[in-house]
Amino acid sequence: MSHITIAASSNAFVQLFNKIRDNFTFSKSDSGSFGPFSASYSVAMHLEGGNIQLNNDDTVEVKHLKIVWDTLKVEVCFNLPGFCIGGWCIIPDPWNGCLVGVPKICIGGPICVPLDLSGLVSEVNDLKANLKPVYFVDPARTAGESDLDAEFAGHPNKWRIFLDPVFVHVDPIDIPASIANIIENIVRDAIENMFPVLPGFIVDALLAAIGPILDLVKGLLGIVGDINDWLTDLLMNTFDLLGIIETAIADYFAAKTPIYEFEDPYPVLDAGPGLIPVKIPIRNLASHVNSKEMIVTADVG
Amino acid sequence: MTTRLKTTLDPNLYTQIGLDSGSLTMLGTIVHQLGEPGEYRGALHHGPDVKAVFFILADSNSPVAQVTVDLAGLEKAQSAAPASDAEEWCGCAGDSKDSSGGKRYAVNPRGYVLFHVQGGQGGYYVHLRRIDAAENDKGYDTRTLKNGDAFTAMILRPGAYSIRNTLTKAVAEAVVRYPIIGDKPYVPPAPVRIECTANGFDIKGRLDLGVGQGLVFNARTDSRIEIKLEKPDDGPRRPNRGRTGFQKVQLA
Repeated sequence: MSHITIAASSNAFVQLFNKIRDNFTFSKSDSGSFGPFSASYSVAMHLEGGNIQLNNDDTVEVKHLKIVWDTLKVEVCFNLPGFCIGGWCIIPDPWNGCLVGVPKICIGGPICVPLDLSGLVSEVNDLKANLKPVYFVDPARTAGESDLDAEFAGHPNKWRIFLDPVFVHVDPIDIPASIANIIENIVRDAIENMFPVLPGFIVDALLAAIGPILDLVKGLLGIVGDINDWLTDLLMNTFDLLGIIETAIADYFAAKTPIYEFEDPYPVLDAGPGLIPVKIPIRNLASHVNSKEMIVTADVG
Repeated sequence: MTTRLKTTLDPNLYTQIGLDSGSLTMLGTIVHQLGEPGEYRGALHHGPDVKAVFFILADSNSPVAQVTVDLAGLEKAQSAAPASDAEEWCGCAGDSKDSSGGKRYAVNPRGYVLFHVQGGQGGYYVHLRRIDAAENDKGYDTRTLKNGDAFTAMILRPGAYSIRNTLTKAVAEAVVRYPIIGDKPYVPPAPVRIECTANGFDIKGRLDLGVGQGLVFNARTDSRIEIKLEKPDDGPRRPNRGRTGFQKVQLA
């Protein structure tokens, strides 16, 4: 039988969870080269909502936790082949080859298509965790410092209870199909704005040579299906953003931000005039959940 | 959002309208067969100035069927050379630098030399002469295409053009159609081949060309080809891509 038992109702647990959820932020940027194209991204996100359920098997389950992408910027760069003239044969040889050919002149160049998808929302589809108590020794505490001195100095030891995820499953971002039109317009604008003084006939020759812009872009990037699915795959799998976010969320709940923490020794009576505070040492702290509440037990001594 | 497109487009491609085989620019090339073995010295001219000197060895044992000479590159290399090498040369016989300095090429005498301008405004012609030629041999000047030479031209600017052989007074007309943005990428049609004889061009009627389509003028007599824009075709009206400035609101 434990000396101390405290409990938090499921409603109270939800409030505790909401508080640490709201403190979660994540940002990252990266770039890579993938043969015919290169890409870079910059993301920043926070969490909202989520349905929390306490289970009798000692687990906490969070479903439909929203990921709000405050920043989701992607830039894809590739070489626009444009319009080539020349390259044909001036003097053919008798064996169906070419003795003399005209050098080829190509109008085109590298193009970067920046896409701003900030504001999109995806979700942590499922997060399942156990409660894990961890004893925390404040690194600021000096050797030989008493519990009382540590409290006065503001760095007492603590018992911390973390949500230790068993699994985190993040859904891929659902990039809208309208991104295809956006890409098409960006490429067209880039061609039209290549030079402020570029004559219309050169622009039209380029656009005519390119043909349907989306077909060209898909061909250059090796996209077989829809461009929005390709972009999702680029971010989530090629850059492994899905795995990175899952790890970041798991690490945040499991090791960075406890759902609750107790000071050790635990203050029972505050300091009074001429009296030092009364504190009791806590040992063998354990934390569990059932469908109704979170239960924390501990011994004194 | 800003989109960057760093283009490789040389503005001379669209600012130089019209071509002249005697003043080579980016959209034209000249093909010449040396015929006789030996070492040839070439002088690159821009107007009266000699911009560079180069050498071509016509070697019967050479397997090279085509040598491509970038005239703009020659001028650039020459201007970047040390001052002692960059002295003005006349390109004529008796020049003290006959066999020193300058870029060297080799080709089979039955092969072809192709002169072209990779970039820049061009306006070049070339004077080629065998180093051991007799004093009265004036050599070959690209301003006068000889029998067997070819001049190629590509036209980017849509419109109606006149084509003249200034040495035979032959004339022809060509129309370059405005490009149509369609469902399939536009590819310039195959080049049109034109014989230039003493009796004129072997063209029947007006030439109908696409943007960037090639023209190959095969000289069968002394020729100098000039292609001149007579009437531009600006295509359908385009939306103004520049800033419009202040415009008073017109009330209906």
